[in-house]
Amino acid sequence: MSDYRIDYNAIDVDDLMSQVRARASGRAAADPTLPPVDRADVTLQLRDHLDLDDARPYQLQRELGLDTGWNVAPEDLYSSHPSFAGTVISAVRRLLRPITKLFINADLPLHKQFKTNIGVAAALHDLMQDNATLRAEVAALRERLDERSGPER
Amino acid sequence: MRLAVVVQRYGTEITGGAELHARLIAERLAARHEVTVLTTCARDYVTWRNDYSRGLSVVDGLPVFRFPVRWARNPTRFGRLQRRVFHREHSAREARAWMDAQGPYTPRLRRWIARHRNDFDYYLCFSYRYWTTYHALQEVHGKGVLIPTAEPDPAVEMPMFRDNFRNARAIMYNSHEERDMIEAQADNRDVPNVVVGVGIVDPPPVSADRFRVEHGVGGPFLLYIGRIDANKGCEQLFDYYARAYDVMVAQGETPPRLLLAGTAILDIPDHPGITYLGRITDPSKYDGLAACTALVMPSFYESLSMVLLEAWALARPVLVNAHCDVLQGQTRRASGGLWYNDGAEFVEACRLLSCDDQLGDRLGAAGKHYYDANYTWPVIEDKYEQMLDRLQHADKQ
Repeated sequence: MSDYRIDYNAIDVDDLMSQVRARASGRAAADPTLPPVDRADVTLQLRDHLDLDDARPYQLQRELGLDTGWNVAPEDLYSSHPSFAGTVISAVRRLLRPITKLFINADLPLHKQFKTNIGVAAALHDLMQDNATLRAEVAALRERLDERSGPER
Repeated sequence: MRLAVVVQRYGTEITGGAELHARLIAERLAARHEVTVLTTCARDYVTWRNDYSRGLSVVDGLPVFRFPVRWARNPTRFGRLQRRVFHREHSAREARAWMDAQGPYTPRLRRWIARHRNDFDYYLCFSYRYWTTYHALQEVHGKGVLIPTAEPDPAVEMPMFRDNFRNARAIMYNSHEERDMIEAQADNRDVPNVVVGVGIVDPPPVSADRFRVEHGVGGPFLLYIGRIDANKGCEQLFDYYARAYDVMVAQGETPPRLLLAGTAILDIPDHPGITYLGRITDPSKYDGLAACTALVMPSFYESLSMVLLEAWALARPVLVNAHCDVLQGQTRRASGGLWYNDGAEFVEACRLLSCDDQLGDRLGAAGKHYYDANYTWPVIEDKYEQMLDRLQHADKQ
């Protein structure tokens, strides 16, 4: 492990741990040719995804091409099997809705969950797009590197 | 001074945790003071079954009064109440019900203390969260010295404990992190306090070679000593170790073995690098510590790890879970080892300690220096004596 900078006469464990962390994160932080990663910015981006106003979830759902049935919805509370009995049960639930709302309000947490699901889907979507872009860039870089180092072998 | 030590269990068979801490302190203080132990008849901390005889007995020369636990813990009821009080808003009545369900429910101990309140100058109460200490502190208002042994779990945030943290006559903390945590919860900075911790049993003469021969171990190894339990972070340790093993093999390095000593609650994975030693004797434990590349402590919750001190007493480095503030804080202050936040950091730290013997020796030496300065018995006893003198002086005025 000769690549560690260690002063054996005065060991600084914090410095040692920062070196361990640098190597643990794929040596990226130790490589001066790469720009530093702004973790605060990443956190802000994620918060932006999850911090949705009332209109944006529906817009995002359309942008992502998601079927409305994929997410939770207040109607899920009342729906039942599409048979005759299921239709009757569903109708009874809807009829009793004002009474059940006296005791619990499930619409609010369901709406929150709906927005959260959309936010997570959007974050995942962006992550996959970034990943695909990075893979393409790595492949192109590797190709260029092979081209340049080829004649010297 | 006449001192009473209140603790949930007491006995030479109990070899860890706050109970061992209480016994070591009681035995040391008995050299200068008249010490009496007030405890329960329980030996098992899960059931609180009455295994010891009630009444007066003598343990290593100290008088021990044992009181019967009225009911064994009902794990279902306790679990249900704990989920409620830990994770939801709850009433004072629910908190009391949780405390009774947690136990050890010992009303006779409480009545005894109420009757004999003035028989002792101070009551040293160990482990804030148990029934015995919770009620003892309320009975001996103004005489209770609390040794909280608190871990960063939801119990410490429960409002029911704030009065005890504020009304204790003094508090002897195990670590700076424990003090910060309790002061943040209870706003009790005006209560006299000191970070003191606990010493360890003096290690006998050790032999690393004896351990290697006894257990057939050659080459570097990480040593884990303690209960092998998911709650102690062992499941994560197995996962991280397997990663480190694979990385080191792939790099052509010799991975250290992982030796586990203690009672296994968890299934130990079948892995070429992992060896389960079972429960080992104290002399073998110290030999193992002297021989190891590093002691590994994967626990997420510790108020003070005595085995960490034992490793440092023998000048060996440690590798600890950074998610436990106490372990990380102690290791940083001691410069006695490394810590890890995730699997990748564990892999790198493990590689570094395994491949650089000089570094391990230097970290171990720094740990030994820290241990000598803070955790040897003369230092611990002196802190207790100073606090007791300070309280007595204030009470006389």
